[in-house]
Amino acid sequence: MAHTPGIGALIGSEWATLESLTPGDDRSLATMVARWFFGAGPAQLAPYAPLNSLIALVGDGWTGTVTVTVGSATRTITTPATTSVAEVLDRIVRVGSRRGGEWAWSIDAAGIVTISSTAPFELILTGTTLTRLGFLSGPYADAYYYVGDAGAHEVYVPSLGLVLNGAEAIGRGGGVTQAEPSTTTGATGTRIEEESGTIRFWGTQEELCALVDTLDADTWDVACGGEVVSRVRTRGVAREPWGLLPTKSTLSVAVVAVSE
Amino acid sequence: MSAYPTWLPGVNWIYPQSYRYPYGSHLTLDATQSTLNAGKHSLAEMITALDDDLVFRHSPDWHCAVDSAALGTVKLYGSVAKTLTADDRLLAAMGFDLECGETLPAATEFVSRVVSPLAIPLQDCVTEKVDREKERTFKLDSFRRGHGDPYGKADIWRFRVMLDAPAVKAVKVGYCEGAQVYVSPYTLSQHIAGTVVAWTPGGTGYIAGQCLGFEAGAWVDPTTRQFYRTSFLVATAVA
Repeated sequence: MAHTPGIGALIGSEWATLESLTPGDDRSLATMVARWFFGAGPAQLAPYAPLNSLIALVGDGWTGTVTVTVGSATRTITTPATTSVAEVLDRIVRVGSRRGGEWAWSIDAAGIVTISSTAPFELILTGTTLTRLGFLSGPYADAYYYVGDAGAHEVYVPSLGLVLNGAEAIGRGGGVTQAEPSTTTGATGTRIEEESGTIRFWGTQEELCALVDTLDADTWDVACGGEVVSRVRTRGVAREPWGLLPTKSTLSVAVVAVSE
Repeated sequence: MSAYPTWLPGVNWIYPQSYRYPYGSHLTLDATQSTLNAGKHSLAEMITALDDDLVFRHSPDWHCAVDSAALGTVKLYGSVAKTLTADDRLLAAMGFDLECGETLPAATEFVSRVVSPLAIPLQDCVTEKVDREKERTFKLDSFRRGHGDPYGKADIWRFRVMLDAPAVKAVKVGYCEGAQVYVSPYTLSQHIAGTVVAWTPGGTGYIAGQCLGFEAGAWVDPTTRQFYRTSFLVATAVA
């Protein structure tokens, strides 16, 4: 937010500077008063958005719309019936960015969503999209960021992070043999193979054990640094100990990249 | 991270030639629709054709041009503010990341926001000619086929490349896969200007061929996911 002339400047006060209000060492109260009086407080910023890593379940039951408004520019998007929290958030911030400001989303360890922008914006959510993103109180208008009221739907944020290796869905297999000729026409074609990878979760023993139950053979969107990086289906789960202590381990999840 | 992270200028480029106008060939400025002519398969051809069409349909003129040759971004611009509507996937292919039917508020300039899947910047590109006698996988392919050679007499090239994260997303769109591509040291502007030469043995230039596919790759640092190393194969006519 741009700085504006404060009341002090408007009424022609002799206290023209912050320093005139801060004799002695204690500046906290004086700084607070000066910010109000001279209107020279810091620009409003979105809360710190950690570059978190998470997985979000790709599932059915999504309904409703999201209407994003920046200034006079509005765009309503319909949530597909099958999607994930991460994919919906990705779409919201991209739609918003195209209408002004730099946008980002994040989810904290409790599953609370934050959507922020450098331009004030309005969000109107309907259907299960509203409840699944955790934005329950509303209205969400004229602010630079909104924080959800409840945890988002089927999102898991390991407390110590995750790393996805492979499953990028770029290469299709392990080398030249992927290019398979047609036996009838002699033409070359790309053999379709699943691209496998591994997600490694770091967290407490308790949360990793709970995650084993949760993962099942489902489809997940993997998000790193505030964007979806791959959609994967789980194939197997293994707990791997860190040294001798049975209480410390990582979770290694075998996945394959999928498109739906 | 921003919804639209920036990316690094390319030192080499992949230009897929696989775009076909039925994939999407329209955009609308205010209420005036422009149509991409058939037969424009590369981003350079598309920019030139769209520029001609915009100049023809709008008064005062609107244009389509390269915004940043180093980044491969494209812009649509004119002196009078107009709304921009993506009627189909044409603008998405040019890097505007617009959904079909989406309209942007009136402006005098629109600049693409993501790496165009038709102009992919490479941070590093090392070329090697594949020795099909020594690479066992080729022998296996020939064996499986039963007779002959799966690639005929074509030369096979392997390009070992590094991409940054936004470029990886552009590759995933898929216009490279199994398509004709140019692997080029030249920028989009140079291709439009026609100041490019095809590679010849012993020289420099762009290589035009059929992309056979990407081989397995990996992030240089999977925790930060900034740079991705991979390689892809291109078949060309014997030089």
